[in-house]
Amino acid sequence: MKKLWLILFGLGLLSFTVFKGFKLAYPSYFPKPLYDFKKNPLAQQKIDLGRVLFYDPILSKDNSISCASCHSPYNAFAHVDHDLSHGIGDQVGSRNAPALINLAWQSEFMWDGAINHLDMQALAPISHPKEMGEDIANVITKLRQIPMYRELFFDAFADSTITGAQTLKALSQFQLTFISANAKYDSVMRKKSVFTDQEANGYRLFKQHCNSCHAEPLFSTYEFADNGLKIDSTLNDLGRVVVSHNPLDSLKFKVPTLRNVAYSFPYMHHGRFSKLSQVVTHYTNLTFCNQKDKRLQKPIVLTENEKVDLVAFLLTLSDKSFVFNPSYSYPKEILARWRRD
Amino acid sequence: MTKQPLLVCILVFCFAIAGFAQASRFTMSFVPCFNAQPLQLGQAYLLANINDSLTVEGFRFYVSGIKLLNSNKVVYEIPDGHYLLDAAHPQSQTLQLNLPKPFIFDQIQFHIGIDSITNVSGAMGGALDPMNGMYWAWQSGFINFKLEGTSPVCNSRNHKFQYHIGGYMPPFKALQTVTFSCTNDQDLIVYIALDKILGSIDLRLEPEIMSPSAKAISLSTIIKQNFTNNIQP
Repeated sequence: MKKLWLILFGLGLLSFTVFKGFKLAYPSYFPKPLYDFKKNPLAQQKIDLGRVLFYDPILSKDNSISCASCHSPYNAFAHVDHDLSHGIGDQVGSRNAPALINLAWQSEFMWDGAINHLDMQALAPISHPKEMGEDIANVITKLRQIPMYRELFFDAFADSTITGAQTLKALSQFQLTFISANAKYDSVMRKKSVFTDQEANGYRLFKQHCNSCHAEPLFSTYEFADNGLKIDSTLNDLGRVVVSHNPLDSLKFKVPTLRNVAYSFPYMHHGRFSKLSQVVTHYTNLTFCNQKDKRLQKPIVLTENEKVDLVAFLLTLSDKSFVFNPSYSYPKEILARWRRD
Repeated sequence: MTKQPLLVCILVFCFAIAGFAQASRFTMSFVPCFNAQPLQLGQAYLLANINDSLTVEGFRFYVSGIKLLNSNKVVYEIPDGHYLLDAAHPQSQTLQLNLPKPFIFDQIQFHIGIDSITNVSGAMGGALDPMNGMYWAWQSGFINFKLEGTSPVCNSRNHKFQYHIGGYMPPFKALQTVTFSCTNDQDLIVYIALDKILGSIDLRLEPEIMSPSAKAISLSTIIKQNFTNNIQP
């Protein structure tokens, strides 16, 4: 009962931003979202349509892979136990499927920022030959043949034509609702809970060693950075430089959020580490004098106990209400309306 | 004499009404050409510099940011005007521009392609819908100009040549702007000399330019030079 009160009180403290037909809730200590909601005002019907599309393998060439195949809600929309993305015909890509969290606060997508807008992001996996191997024009042709989609698009856009822009906007809408702001860390920030001594010590170490890239409250600056990871010679992925053509961007990748990090293993752009302790050890073992990034030129020295404390703090970023949010799950209640038995 | 002010008022009122009602129209037609003749998709042409034949299978490009100028000053800009012109749909190559009133202008200016702000504005419908095949999926951005076909000299798969020219970010911004002299009472016809554009490329060595790059920039400059208002063989 006490817990319920806490949750209710916590929700009351969330500031509510009103968009046409749908309220997007986020805490007052979050910055302003970067997504331009005026160009794509949230509405429940559009979010529902996006949810059905997100779980539908029709987006792939052989109707086998959906967005959710690699972005499962139970792993904070990452791909559990897969170091690299897994596409049609059992093909393996070259990067780890990132967790989808707080996307409204990001303006560049993919590990190298090749995508400049959330709306356009879905085009990349849809058309990648090793992911969904499909063409957006063909996706639209397939969707137009399905009465359920004609109705869902009509409900969402007052138009049953079905276009690429509508499909992408609906997918954006569903993903924009992926807001994680209800972890233990958040309840501590709202003064509704306190860290244990171990977590508090981990938080202190976090602020000292990690916060410059994984900045609170989103736990990322979403910059591109070289974290000292040696290139994987089986992939030879140079990262950001391929997009920016700036030699200084070689081996830079987008800094991922640490929210729900306990759910989103394996880690790094190619899933090299499966445990958080390995990630912490990566940073403490760096040859600091060789680092390109100034923030890594000062050694990170942690005792074994401190490493455990730091991981204990990272676990306070796990948001159960996010990963088990029923409105993110397989849309069985929407699909049931069209099921013919 | 006492009636004169009233008469003036009526006349002014009539002119005002006429002015409001007299929305104006201006037509821009684009004619892709090969050897100074209108392009026929699928027809084999002889290209002098390769001394061999080639066939254009597809030709599409964007026109946007259309501005009317008078004495080098912008008098009107077509709002939200993004047009996808497709040689496979000849009607798409004639743009009927509705002007809110008749403007006096002596030049018309437009982009070949899509500007950088539109490039970062998310999903848009109509001519800008990514399902039109003029948007790069692997790295965000519109394809400004797409010219595809085959030639026996191309050492590519199925002897294809594919020129997808675009890029909105520095250092590889491929957007080009062209300006033509014209008059308000005469429709503008723009010819595109595809033989000259293709003649500028070594089809043997360079059958594909499909990403923002220095090569794409230099081709975009040649494309711009070959948008002309008179065509000569």
